Amino acid sequence: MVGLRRTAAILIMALAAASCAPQKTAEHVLRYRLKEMYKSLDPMMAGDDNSLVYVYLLFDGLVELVPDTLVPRPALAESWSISPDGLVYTFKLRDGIRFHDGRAITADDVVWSINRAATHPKSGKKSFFPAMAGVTTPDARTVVVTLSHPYDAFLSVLASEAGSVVPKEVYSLPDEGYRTHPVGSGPFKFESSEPGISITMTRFAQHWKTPPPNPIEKIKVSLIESSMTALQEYLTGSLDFTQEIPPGQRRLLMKEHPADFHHWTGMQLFYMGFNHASGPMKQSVLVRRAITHAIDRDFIVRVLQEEKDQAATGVIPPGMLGHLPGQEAPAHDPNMAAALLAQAGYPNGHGLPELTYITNGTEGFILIAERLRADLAAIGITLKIKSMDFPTYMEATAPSRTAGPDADVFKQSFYCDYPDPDNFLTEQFGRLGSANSGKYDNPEFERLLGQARFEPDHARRKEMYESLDRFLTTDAALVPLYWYGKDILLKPDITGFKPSPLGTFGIPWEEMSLNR
Amino acid sequence: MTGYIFRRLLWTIPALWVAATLVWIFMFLIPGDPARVLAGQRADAQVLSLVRAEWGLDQPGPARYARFLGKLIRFDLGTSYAFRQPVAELLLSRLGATFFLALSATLLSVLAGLMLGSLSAARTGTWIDTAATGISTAGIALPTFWVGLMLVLVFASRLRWLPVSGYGDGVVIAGIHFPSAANLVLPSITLAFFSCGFLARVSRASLLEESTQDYARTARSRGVSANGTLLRHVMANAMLPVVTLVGMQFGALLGGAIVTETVFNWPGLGRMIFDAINARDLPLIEGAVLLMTALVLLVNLAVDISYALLDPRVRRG
Repeated sequence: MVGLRRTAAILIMALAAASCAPQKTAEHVLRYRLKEMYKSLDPMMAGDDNSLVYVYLLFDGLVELVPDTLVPRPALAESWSISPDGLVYTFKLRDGIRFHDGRAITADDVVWSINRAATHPKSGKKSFFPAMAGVTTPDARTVVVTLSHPYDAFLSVLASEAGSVVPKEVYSLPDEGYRTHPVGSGPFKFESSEPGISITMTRFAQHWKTPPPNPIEKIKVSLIESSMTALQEYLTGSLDFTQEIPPGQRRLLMKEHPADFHHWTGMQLFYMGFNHASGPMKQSVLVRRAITHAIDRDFIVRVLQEEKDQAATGVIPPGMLGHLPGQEAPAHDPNMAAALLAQAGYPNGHGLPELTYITNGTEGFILIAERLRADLAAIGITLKIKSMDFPTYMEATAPSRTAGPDADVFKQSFYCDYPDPDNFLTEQFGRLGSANSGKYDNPEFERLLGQARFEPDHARRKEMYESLDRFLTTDAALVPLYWYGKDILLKPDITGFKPSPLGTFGIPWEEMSLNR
Repeated sequence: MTGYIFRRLLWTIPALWVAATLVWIFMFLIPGDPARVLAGQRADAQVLSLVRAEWGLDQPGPARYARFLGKLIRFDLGTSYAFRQPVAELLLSRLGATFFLALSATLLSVLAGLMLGSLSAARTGTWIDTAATGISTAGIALPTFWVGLMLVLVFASRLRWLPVSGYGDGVVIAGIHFPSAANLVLPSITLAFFSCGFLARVSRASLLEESTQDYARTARSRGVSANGTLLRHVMANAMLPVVTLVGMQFGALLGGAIVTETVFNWPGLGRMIFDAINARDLPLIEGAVLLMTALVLLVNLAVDISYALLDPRVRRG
């Protein structure tokens, strides 16, 4: 019994000592919060925001985009040239570039990686390469890509995760160990992972970029589900970077932590989608137009979103080719909405069946759904809200469903894969678009989309996408609500921050200094 | 006694099979395609079919169930879809964190619950009784996530006495990673709060009932003080229903751990289950539920055995 007591006493003392010991302050470690585990660390499969954070840090491509302007600039390729007809891209690789395992990168690796992303059965990036004709290597430092049509966005595609260069001998292993232990050539290399808890990456000393003064040596990503917990961790100094400000906290944080608070608008659209494959939304453009005039998007942005986001006046977001800066969104006008509804044969909503709206159950999305319900009730439309967890919502809005989503209207958001309107419009509203959950299928739109995609003249292409944006508004293909604003909190001793309209995964941490 | 324990242990096998089957059926029926979660909403039909084939999700339900049971019989819980690691390894890596949290929360709830219950019973009708009843009612009524967030805001964010979340560095003894005591405080209080309320209510009622029994009155008539009667005579007899409740509350405690571990970012089984459900990680959900069921069964067996130690009448049969 005495022995037991002694052991217990030693144990308690050890625990107390451990808890009282000063916490080690790790120098030059960026403590980064993400909400969830990555889905995949393989660049040809990674598509969600969480996974892309790692992919952008761990992998490099031939080119990359300047974070804030999104202009292509050299990465693994030191230079490139484009043939006058826009069909042949010739890239010269840098000297001395290496993978994280130390092996030198060759032109063959680039060819293998591009082909893998463009053609591998498991690749989720096949649609990124609509005009690929072939890739060759005249010598060990030269890569030549031939396109079947001139494609203005091709450099942006190569700068995305789809252009990541991977070592063939690792990425062809049958056990697919690279999925959890990736090997790339990006500015940070994978160090360790505690599944579901944290992931640590260290700076790749042999990276081709010259590091800034006091570079970030290590990034430790902690997976913290609750945004309120993450905020408190940030405010008490245990995190250096967090995003997803909890509802109701935005204005307070802007006021009390102005040096930490950063905000910018991204190339992402949040909207109310229509089921164009079946039900009343398919049959009547007048009903769809009535709904667009019934919704008060300014209220949603100003009150519910605390002015984080920018009210969407069209589809193509600011900063992207084809964006219409002067365009006005369909006005919030309940009288006009009621008149359109009557014109459609449903005066005061009589005769129109109850509409179902589906959304995933995040608190902010529920508030928006309730506002939509109130706005539509004002013109006599009854909206039934079905809130579900994300996997259920994914299935209910899967673009592969032939009858469209399991609802008449649905919450939808889209993050561009690469900053080009072809990606933005084709994936969401193209007949075979991978994000066309509403099954929008308009032959005229499809024809114009096909013409714009491979238009070689930049100015003409811009005009074509502007017309396509107007086309979607006139056809009331959706109710654009807002373009996402990004809010982040970043400790002021981390300098060199540049916002990326692509999302927080586009922040160039390797170019930033940690002055601690 | 040995025979009794053996029989009870044997009964855990069908109980585990029922639990495993129920979980398997629920996960089979709920919407949310695991292949789509893995491949992403925009995955094309080819990618989806490859993912389904890779994890056997293209098989009909009965074949999948038979394969699941076949593996279970060989103690193989399968491989997690999301983490691509054996489920058993993942569960073991998280078991310790949940064990320490559940242990400290149980100790805390028993100590606090008995103290509140005893105070209430000893001072019936006074302000102490009212206050203790109020605290125990609050414990039952207040949602766990709210209690957790309030504790964080006051003790971690405002007063800076304790860390907001996480497991802390702690110490490693014999390969076991102990949590930092400072990190353990708030999640333990949060998790204990609910059980503590129940225990206080039951112990109060039980103590009051026992104190009206003949043996208690006899003790008082022989000059033993009220406190002495309560502590030396009544308490032991009043413990039987309390011990039963501790066993029953253990299951609720593990359920509460899902919320508590999420709020406090505690790297235990609860948070893993939360993540696994969101990812429709069927093998991991099934493994975690099986493990939790086994723990609840074992704790309840331990409670039944402890009756015999507490009450000689049970020993004698």
